[in-house]
Parts: sequence; C-alpha cells; structure tokens
Amino acid sequence: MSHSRTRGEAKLNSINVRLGGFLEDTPEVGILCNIYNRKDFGKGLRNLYVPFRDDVQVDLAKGHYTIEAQLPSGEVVRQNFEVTDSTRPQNVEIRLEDSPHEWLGWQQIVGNVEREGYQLLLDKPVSEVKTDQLSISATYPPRSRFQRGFFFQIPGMNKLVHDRQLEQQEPFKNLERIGVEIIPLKPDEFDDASEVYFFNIRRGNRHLDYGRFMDMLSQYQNNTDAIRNYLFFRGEGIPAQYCALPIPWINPLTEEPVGVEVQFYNNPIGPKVGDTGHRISVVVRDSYVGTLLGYLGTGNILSAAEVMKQSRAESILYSKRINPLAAVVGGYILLATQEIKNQVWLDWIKNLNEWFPWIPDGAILYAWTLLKKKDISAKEKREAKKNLLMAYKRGIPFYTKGVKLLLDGLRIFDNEAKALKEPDKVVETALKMIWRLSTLINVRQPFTTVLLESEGKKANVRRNV
Amino acid sequence: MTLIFNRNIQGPATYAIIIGVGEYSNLGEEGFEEYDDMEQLTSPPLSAREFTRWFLEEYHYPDKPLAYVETLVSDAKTQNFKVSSRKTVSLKKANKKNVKKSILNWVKRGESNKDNRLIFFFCGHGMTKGYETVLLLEDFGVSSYAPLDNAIDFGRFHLGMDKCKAREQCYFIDACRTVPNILLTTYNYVGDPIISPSTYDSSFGSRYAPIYYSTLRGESAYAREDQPSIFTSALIKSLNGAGSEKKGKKWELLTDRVNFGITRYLKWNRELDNSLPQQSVATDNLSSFVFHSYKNNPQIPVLIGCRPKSANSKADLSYKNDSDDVQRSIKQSEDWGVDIQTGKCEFRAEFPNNDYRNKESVEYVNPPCLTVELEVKLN
Repeated sequence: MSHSRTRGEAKLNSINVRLGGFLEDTPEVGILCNIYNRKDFGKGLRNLYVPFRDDVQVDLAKGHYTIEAQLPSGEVVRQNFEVTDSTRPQNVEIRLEDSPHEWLGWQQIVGNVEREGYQLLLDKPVSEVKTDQLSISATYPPRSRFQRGFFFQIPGMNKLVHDRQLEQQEPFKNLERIGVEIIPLKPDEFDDASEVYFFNIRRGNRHLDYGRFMDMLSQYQNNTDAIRNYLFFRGEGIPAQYCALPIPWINPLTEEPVGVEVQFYNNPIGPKVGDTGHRISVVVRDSYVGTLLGYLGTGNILSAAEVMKQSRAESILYSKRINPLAAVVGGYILLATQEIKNQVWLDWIKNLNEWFPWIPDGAILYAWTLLKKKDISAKEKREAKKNLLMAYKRGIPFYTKGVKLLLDGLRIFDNEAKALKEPDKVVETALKMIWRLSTLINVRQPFTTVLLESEGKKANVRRNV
Repeated sequence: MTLIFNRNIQGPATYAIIIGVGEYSNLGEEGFEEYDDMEQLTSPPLSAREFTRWFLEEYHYPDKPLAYVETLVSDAKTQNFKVSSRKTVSLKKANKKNVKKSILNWVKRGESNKDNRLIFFFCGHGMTKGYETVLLLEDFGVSSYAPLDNAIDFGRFHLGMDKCKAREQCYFIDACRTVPNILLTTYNYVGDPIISPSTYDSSFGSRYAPIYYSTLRGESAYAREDQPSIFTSALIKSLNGAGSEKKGKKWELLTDRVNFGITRYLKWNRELDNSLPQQSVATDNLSSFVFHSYKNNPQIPVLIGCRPKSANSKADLSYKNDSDDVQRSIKQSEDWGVDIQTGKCEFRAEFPNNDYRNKESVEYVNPPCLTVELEVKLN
C-alpha cells in the first residue's frame, strides 16, 4: 500500500505521531498537539488529538515542522522534525519524559507536578491504592514535620460546613460529639531513605473494609445517604489542611475501582515564613478522566473540551451511573464551554443531580445550566436558587470549580434580594458559609482541599526587583 | 475622565479602560505595617502607558475597531502621557471616585451593542484569598476601620459584568496576588464590585470573558524599578507576535494564545536573564476568539548568539530578511535580543579579527520565540 498521496500539487506523506517516554500505566485519554510548518506557519494541523497508547496517522507534505504538545499541566513541549517524500510511513515521537521521577509521570501529565520548579519530596514510588479496603497511600513530608493526620467520614449531610470552628486549629474536636468517626493515621511503613509514609486506614487491627466494593457501589448508586470521606493533615510549618476524597472512583469501562493518590507537593514559588509550602494534592488514576482533570485544574477548559470531544471520554462521561464523579467533570467542561445548550445535555445534568443526592456538584451544575439559559423564566430562576441551596445542604463540593460556582450563584441571588430590599436570610446564611469556605480552599487543585490555617507571610522579598 | 481616544463608530467596536496605580496616597514612606509592607510602586503607571500605546498604535481588528480608550494612572513622577509627538495629555488619578466614574462610562458604551468588545487592564497592588481578588486603588487605606474601602472586589465585578450587553470582554490583571492579613479579618467584603452581580437578561447570549492574571494565586508579580512590569512587557510581546497564529495567509492572535505567548516569552526571557524571578501567569474563564489581526507580519522575540558564548564579544552579529538588514551596534558578551518579523531570515556572525570562522545560518522565524545559536570554530 502506498503511503503517500497527493493533494493538488503537493505530495502528502504518511506520518505516525506518537507520545513517547515514561509511564507504566499511561492514561487512556491523550492530549492535544499542534503541528506547524516552519516555512509556512499557517500550514499544518491544529488541535490534533494524540492518545497516549496509540499512534495517530496524519498526512503532511515534505518540509520542516514543529510539533507542540499541550500538557494538561500547562507545559508545552515543542520538537522539530522533518518530513521527506517517501512511500514508507515516517514516525514522529514527542518525548514527554524528563519527568523528575519516572513514576511521577502521571502526576506530571495531569498537572500536579511540573518538570521544573517543584521541590520533590519523594524518591520512591507511591504504593498502589487498594480502595476495596480503603487503604489510602498518602505520602507526607519528612518525619520530623509530621504531627497529626487522620481519616474521617461523615454520613449524609456534611456538618463541617456549619461548624463554626472551621477556622480554628482543631476544628475536629467537636466532630466526635456529632457522631463523626475519626480514624487516626498511624503510618504503617516509614522509609528512612526517602522519608515516605504509607498509611493504611484501620479500625483496630483490621483494615477498614466496606465489604465487597460493588456493594458499596450499589449503595452509592441507589441514592442512599452515601458517606463522605476526608483526610486531614498537619505538621510543623505545614498548615492544617484537609481534602475531600473522591471515593469511590470507578473506571466506567471496566467497572473496577481506580486508585486515588494523596500526595504532598511543595509550592514551586516560595518559601514563606512559617509555611514550608506543603500542600495536599489528590489525583485519580483514571485513564479516561485523569487528563481532563488535569486540563480542568489548570484552567485550560478549551483543551479539555476538545479532548473530550475527540476521545472516548465523552461517551464514557455519559455513563454517570457507573461513576457520577467523573460525569461531573464532563458537566463542568460543558458548562464552561457553553456547550450546554441542547436539551440532551440539559436533561443529562438534571438526571445527574437527581440520581445522586450526595453530590453537591450535581445540584450546582443544574442550577447553572438554568442560569445560563437564554430567556430564563421566573420559575427557572427559582429552581436555580433552590438547587444552589440544595447544593449547600449536601455539603462541601467535591471539586474546587463547584465551590466557585456555588459562591457566584449565591452572590447573584443575595445581591438581587438586597437590591429589591427583600433580603433572603437563607441565601445570606448559605453565602456566609460558602464564602468562608472559598477563602480557605486551594484553588490550584481540581479536588476541594481546604487550608485551615494562614498561608503564612511571604518571605522578605521586594516586589520591585 | 481621561479619554485618550474616542471615535464614534456605528456597529460593534472595542472599548478599553486602562488603570495603573503606582502612588498610594495613604501609604507612608515606611509603608503601613498592617498592610504587610506594601510599598509605593513605579512600574504600574508605565505599564498602563505601554498598554495604552499598544492599543493606539497596534491594535487592529476591523470587525470591532477601536472606539474608546480611557487611561487613569497614579504616578508620583508625572501624570502626563505623550500620546503623539504633538499631543500630551494629563491623565486623571486612579482614585476610587475617578475609576468608578470611568468604569460606569465604559460599561455604558459597551451597552450600545451586544457584539461590542470591552477591555479592562489594571496594574498595581492586589490581594487574593481563595477566590477573592482585590485591586487596590490610589486612595486605598484611607481608614483603618474600613481598610478595603477604595478597592475593587474583582470577583464580583467580573461576575457583575455579565449584565453588560457586550458579549466579549477581556480582563488583564497585573497585580500581586498575595494573601495579606487584612483579608483574613474582613468578612464577606473585599471592596466595591462597582457592578453588582445579579441575574440578567440572558437573551444577550453567552458571554466570553477571559481573565489574564500576571501571577498565580498567593504569589507576587515583579517589575524592575522605573520600567513596565515583567507581565506587561511579556503581554506586549505576546500581542506583538509571540502568541500569534497563522490562518491561511493571515496572522491573528486568538485569546487562548495570548497566555501561551506570555508564558513562553517569560520562560525564554528567563533563560536569557536568570536574575529574573520566576513568575507563572494564570488564566480563568478562557475562551477562544480573535483578539487582534496583524496588518504586517508579527514581530517575534529572537535571541542570537555564538556558541561558545565567549565568541560573542568578538563577533559582528547581524540578520537579514525581506525587509531588514541589521547589525548589532556594539560587540558584547551577552546574546543579542531583537524582535524580527516572521519569515525566512539569515543570521550571521562575522569576525573582523579572524578569531573565529564566520558563520551563517538560515532559519524561519516563527512564534512564540526563537533562539539562534551560531556554532563557531576557532581559526
């Protein structure tokens, strides 16, 4: 078979484009690339979707090109290559290696770790997560800094949002009084060389075990009051912080649980006085949604939408019954790219909200699909407000994006009520709590992580260089 | 108000408001301790003037031509702005009263057509806590009982601007985004939103309103004394060509490439001068539409130098393309940074004293930036 064709005057050559380097378990869903002809920059290909695990074949005329790969982290990798006239396919491999640690490649792809700038804490890989036993591996800063960590669960409504002690150093003193179970994290293993902790969640001598994982899945899908899970850490020079754990997280194709990693990364631009810059980072090793989460986390919504469209991710996100938390990611992308206009998507979001009452983000998405509707009716406005308040009652949103949208939505209704001189106390109360929460979250993370203490004063650096 | 440019245009047009606050009237010489060592600044008024000049001299988008530019600065040295060789204007101070009035006028102009484009640029002190971003105006801090009076609650302002009919809005925020103690003690009030958010007449259609921040949340933005800020300089480079794209035969700048150009230029520039602090820009609400189309070929930042670098001080470096034939005026040890238009270009290193063999290289100059390394050999 000939691998060259002609289009008009130019002979086209078959090129196999692939991503090279690193990972033992690469994401299924790839990234976007642009190809530019260096002699005529307007020629080439834009928004080419290149999966991690496969080649993509394109046709290019003879010439010198630059390929530019846009990682979800915001990094751009550029590489030059030459195409010659040939009857045989030519290969172009974009090397995405140079990850500071090979096993951190996934984190690098999805944006939690950059190749430069981050001080890395770890020399060894994080162990695999066994979600059927809720053994969550959490790496942590050096032993000398560790003070306290625990895992806790709250059934049903998240009372933390209402807890007035949210900003105090030990906000969880009262949790046990209101029935929240706190399980201290005692590191099972500590590796002196790399100073990595591995935690397993235990109640007594037994691993915390929900029983068969599919039973838990069934419970979540059947709209019962699902349990929300959190991790809390504090250390010397490390502000107290906690994160909402996105579990259970299930691969929608295989219906198998997917590992959730909790790591600490060091702020790339620092230091600050009284704050080492260590922050929680949550990553799900979902081969379909991982990349989308990365793009979402760095604000690159457009690329997320393009990848979603071109890869299998879009159809997978439809399967909300399997993994509603992943479906929410799709919803945020659609909302941000204003694609959420046709009735199919509107109904999809409505179902996501109604079928999973334990997910605040579903109610937030639904409220905003209404707010963004053309010619919104008075009835739809009331419905939007109702759903924002419902989201507030459901607890802390799983996603940072959800916190922002909830804050914005409540602000709109609060302002309107005040402008009409008809203050809405319910909205006002909700807004106060969500505003407080929004000032504490780490906006650089896609999953909601909350800093409970001051971020510390900037080290003495003049702003004018 | 200080209208730098005002033209009556029928149909969609572009309206810009540009603010640069360097002099803060309530900060003493030693700064206010409670304001976390904030100091007077020299670069924001210069940054605002640079950005204004770019709009007056370079901005080109025929579908929405420039109709209005208003610039306000607070500058300890001078309020003057030389618009052209024959015209100098005195700019209004960027205090709360003036800025609020100007913003309301700007919004009113935007209301004339839903296809209008609004541009907002701010350079000065800023603060961030979580999702809150506060922009400090000249008379910020007039009272310690109400420390955030005379500041703009940018989050609410951006949200409120969805009420304005103009559906394309671009926001450039060149300010520190550090977390001062003030924001930890205020309660649900972080300044005046100017335009309060509320539900709006959604028959306007979707709004496209990207925000470009000069730095990540919690971090500082930097500048050299008496020069435009690092971000504004990089922004101008991106607008001039580093972020450009070619569609067919036309060069354009899309809004989702503006940040790409800034980021690549900052990184490239830091390789040139590693005394520059690391600064990572951020965007929010990114969308894609044509921001600017180039009348001539875009200008691309290019770095030309010999390798080994020690040969630089002995070399006559030059470049030649269809429109220019330029030689570096002095020999020096650093690489030579220039802006060159896109296209084929010949680069030369010549050694009049024959220390090294002359070297030539032909390259295609394309966005975002280009480094030309001429490998030279000793004679």
